[in-house]
Amino acid sequence: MKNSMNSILTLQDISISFGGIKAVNQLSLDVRNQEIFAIIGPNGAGKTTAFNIISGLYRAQAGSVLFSGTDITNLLPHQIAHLGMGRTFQNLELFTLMSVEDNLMAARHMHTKTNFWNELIRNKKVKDEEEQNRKKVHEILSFLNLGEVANKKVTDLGFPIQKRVELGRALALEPKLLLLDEPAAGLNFVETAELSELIKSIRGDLGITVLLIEHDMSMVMSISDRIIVLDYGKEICLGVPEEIQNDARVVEAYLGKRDSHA
Amino acid sequence: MQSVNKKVLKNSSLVLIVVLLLLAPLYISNYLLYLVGVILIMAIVAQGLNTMIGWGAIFSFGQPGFMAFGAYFGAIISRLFPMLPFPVILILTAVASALIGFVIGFPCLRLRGFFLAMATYGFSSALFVLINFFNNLTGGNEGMYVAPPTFGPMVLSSIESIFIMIVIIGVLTQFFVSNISKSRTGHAWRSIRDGEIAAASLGINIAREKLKLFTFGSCLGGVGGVLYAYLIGYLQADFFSIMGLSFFLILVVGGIGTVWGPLLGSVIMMLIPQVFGGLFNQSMNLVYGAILLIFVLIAPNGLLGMFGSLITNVKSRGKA
Repeated sequence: MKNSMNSILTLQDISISFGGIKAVNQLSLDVRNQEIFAIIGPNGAGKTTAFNIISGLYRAQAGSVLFSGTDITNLLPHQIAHLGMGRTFQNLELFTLMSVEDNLMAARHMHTKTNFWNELIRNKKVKDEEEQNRKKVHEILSFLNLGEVANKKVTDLGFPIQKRVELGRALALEPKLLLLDEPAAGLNFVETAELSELIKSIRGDLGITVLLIEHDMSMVMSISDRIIVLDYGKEICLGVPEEIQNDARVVEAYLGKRDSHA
Repeated sequence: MQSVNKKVLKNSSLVLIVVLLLLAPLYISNYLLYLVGVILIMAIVAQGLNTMIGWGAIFSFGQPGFMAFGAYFGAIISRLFPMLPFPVILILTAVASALIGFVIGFPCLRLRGFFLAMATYGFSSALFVLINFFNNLTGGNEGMYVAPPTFGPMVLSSIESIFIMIVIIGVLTQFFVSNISKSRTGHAWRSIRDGEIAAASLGINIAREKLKLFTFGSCLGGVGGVLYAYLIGYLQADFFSIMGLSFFLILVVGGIGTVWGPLLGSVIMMLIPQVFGGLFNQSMNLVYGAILLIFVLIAPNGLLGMFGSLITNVKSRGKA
């Protein structure tokens, strides 16, 4: 089984329902190491719910989630983050009262070893480690072309920049797997093209596996290695972009069944 | 270069203020020493609440309770064990207050906002009742006298020596809080305030960090309490139960979530009665109420927040 050897994230028959509505229904998928994998589907298809199960915000009512060899089905969000999973949110969840730099510094939490007592007296160990973290944070900020705004408050920035800050915060975790929930939403054509290059470089240069939800089809088709299409919480089809584009079931899910009289 | 100069200027002015405070007994009256002492104590306790609200969005009404606990705990053990030197009593009180904070925080921090406020208010109220109930230890309604602190063979009964201890603890509090605010823990606490879901997604254990924060803030409440006990030399539960909202008032005036806001707020709130006359009487509540209203409506971030944003506005205008 070459695939399972290579896979970083495996969902096995996960289901969750809210008040009788099956938001995710026996979903299985397998994300391979260093892959760009996209989840698409109409609104309400269960994409974000699946993300929330993977990152631990929801607990699957059935099935299991494996992340780099560990069963994370019943783990809490912070425990999953410690295993190397970072994510962004559909409706930005930035720390709005902090500067851009501090948003990323907060993400260095699990890479910082100093304890509370050392921090109280702020000894050399604390300062050294903080310096290392700051260096790493500024590396990431310049990777994302955010060096200029490092000391600005996030609320003083425009929406596209805020989205990039949130991406930076997830990268500051140094994750193995990055979950992006609609990274292109609200971006214009040029910004979307830049984002595509950025995501490719996150995979290519940083070696991070990317799992993304996206509605911008041209972007999804151009950067994804594989795509899964969901509707009503279920898989409709799975394959490389060409297969998805030519699949009648996908067209049907988005546009509805062709009228038999036509 | 400029930022280095600024830092030197800031540090040297801080050192100057601390030296002036430490030497204050030489040049100000005992009444003023007492007043400045109370200001510093209120600032220490308010700093505890400041970290809870300003960094963790933990709206605790427990601070008067923790202050009372610290005061009575310190007073009782110094009476039971007269040989214990002052620093030991201080540390024991700090540890005991932190422990109580931990025990109270563990169940209460599952709650949020209004319900957390009510639960912590319940703690404070219950404590005041307990203080009056155990009257053989605490003197009940009649109150209890506090033995002057000792240090080895020395009895530090003069207000001057107590004042200097308060200054030292006040400086340490500011030092610790400013260090924490820059550190890993400070970032974690503030990220919890701004968004628990995002903080968890960064590997921050929300429950643990909140408990740590509540314990820290409670500890400051208790430390302020024991210093207060020594300063005034006599305790009654009512002293603390009437404090109710004053710590919130101090924070609203000074600036919630800033390192220096609690101190600034304490200075202003304790000086106002000096200007308007009569500490804690009926008409003062009118003044306090008016101040609270004005600040909440016009400057919800307090004086420091207001000046802070003014300064950044001027700076960014200069750049443009």
